[in-house]
Amino acid sequence: MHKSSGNNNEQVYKMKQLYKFTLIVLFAGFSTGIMAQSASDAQARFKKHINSVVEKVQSTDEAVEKRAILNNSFENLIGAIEKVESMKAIPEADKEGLVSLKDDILEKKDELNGENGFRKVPNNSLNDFANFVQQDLEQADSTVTISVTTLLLVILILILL
Amino acid sequence: MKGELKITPFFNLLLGFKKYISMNRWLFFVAILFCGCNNALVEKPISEKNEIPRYSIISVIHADADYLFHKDGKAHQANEKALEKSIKIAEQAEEGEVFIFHQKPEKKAWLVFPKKDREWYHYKNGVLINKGLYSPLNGGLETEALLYKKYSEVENIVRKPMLMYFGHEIPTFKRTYHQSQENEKFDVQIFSKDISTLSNEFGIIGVSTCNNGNPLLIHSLNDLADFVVASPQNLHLSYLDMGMFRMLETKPEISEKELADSLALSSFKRLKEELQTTITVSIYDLKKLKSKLPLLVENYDKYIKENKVNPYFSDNIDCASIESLAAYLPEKGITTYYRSSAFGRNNSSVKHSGWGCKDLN
Repeated sequence: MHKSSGNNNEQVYKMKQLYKFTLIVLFAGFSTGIMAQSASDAQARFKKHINSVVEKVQSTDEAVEKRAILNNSFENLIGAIEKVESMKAIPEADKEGLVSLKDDILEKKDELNGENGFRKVPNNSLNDFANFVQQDLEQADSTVTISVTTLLLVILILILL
Repeated sequence: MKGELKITPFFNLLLGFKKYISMNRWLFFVAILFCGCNNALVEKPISEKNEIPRYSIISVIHADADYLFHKDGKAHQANEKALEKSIKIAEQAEEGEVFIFHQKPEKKAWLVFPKKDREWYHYKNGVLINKGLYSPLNGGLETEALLYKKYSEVENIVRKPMLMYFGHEIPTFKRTYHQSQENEKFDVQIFSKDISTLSNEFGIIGVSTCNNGNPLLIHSLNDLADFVVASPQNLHLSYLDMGMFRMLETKPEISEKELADSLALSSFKRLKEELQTTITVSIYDLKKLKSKLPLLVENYDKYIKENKVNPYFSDNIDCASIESLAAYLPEKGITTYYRSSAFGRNNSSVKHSGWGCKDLN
């Protein structure tokens, strides 16, 4: 065996190892950074969606319209959550988080309509109720137990509805 | 030729590059440039002032999570608002020193190399005299403690230091808390251990988070502070106020008790004006509670284990509503400001014990 080709093989081997290592490090760094940013973005999008509902409620003076906006919003949220819940690829831990969020939304819908032991929200309290829904969902960090991918799926379905 | 490997154009390029810069030298250069020489602290002295402060305030603001909230339709970041409040107090603290630690998410240069993202500020006599960037050493407050120990004049200050922590609920058991650092855990034990390295005695610790007015956290701070201000249930992201720290300037003789009460009451009044959700702000007098806490904690621990309660980021309920715990709740040594929510299941209750406990699954 020639000495020069032996050295060349060694160099090629080292370069291959360096190449593989760089790709792994880049991917790990990239994915961690991207995932952290994506989690914040997904949660922010969810909160912005809720805010847009609150703004719509407050933009109209008609109680009937306010109720319709809130009911539609709750139904859309519940529907989106149920669609994602039914997907086989969703992890069990995420399903628990989705169930918790769905129960929260269902309870708010019940209260709006005076069902399941709740007193119906009076017409003159609908703006305050909308604020309550927003504040309650924001402060409780209700999406923290749901992974980025799952939350993004919920938001995507909401946008498509 | 036998033994010769096939070389692709990419490797030809790398081999060519290597002719000019040896691999070892290149790696060394990159390591120096981006790995920060293993130094977590970057300091930039700005000016010097020589008066010894009369008091010391530490503000730790967690920012490595989602802190977005809306008020009157406008989006706000809770950590940025807390930073503004802290800087305002710092600029007014003509006779004090104020340290602010803004725990921003850790990012990477070129998506690979760690860089320093957290910010710290050191004010003395109302003037910014030092600031810098730093990286955390772990999921707790070790780096913050190092900076505080290095620059604080607390050893010359008679009044015990005061600490405000702003963030999401400090978990009961170790779990991921920092979104950009999933492997670094944080919990009540780490929190109390690390703040004890900032100081072994605080006048007031303000825990501006949800659900931390609970037996486990309060007990963990038992030997560390005279008073704790915390919320036993959900706390809105607009947080507790810091404005009352101004009284350290206008009323220098103010006691810790009076100051803690002012902090709690002013926060309660503001939150009451702004929110529809439940508001509970409690002041815990740790000297008065000291003898009662161990029994409460023992029974709360038993309740969590026996009922397999989910301790992770679920809302607290009033401990007084749990039959097995009600008898152990101290009544003396705690003051609670409470207003139930305008809506929801629990909007009929008119009082709160001041103790928050996790609900059953």
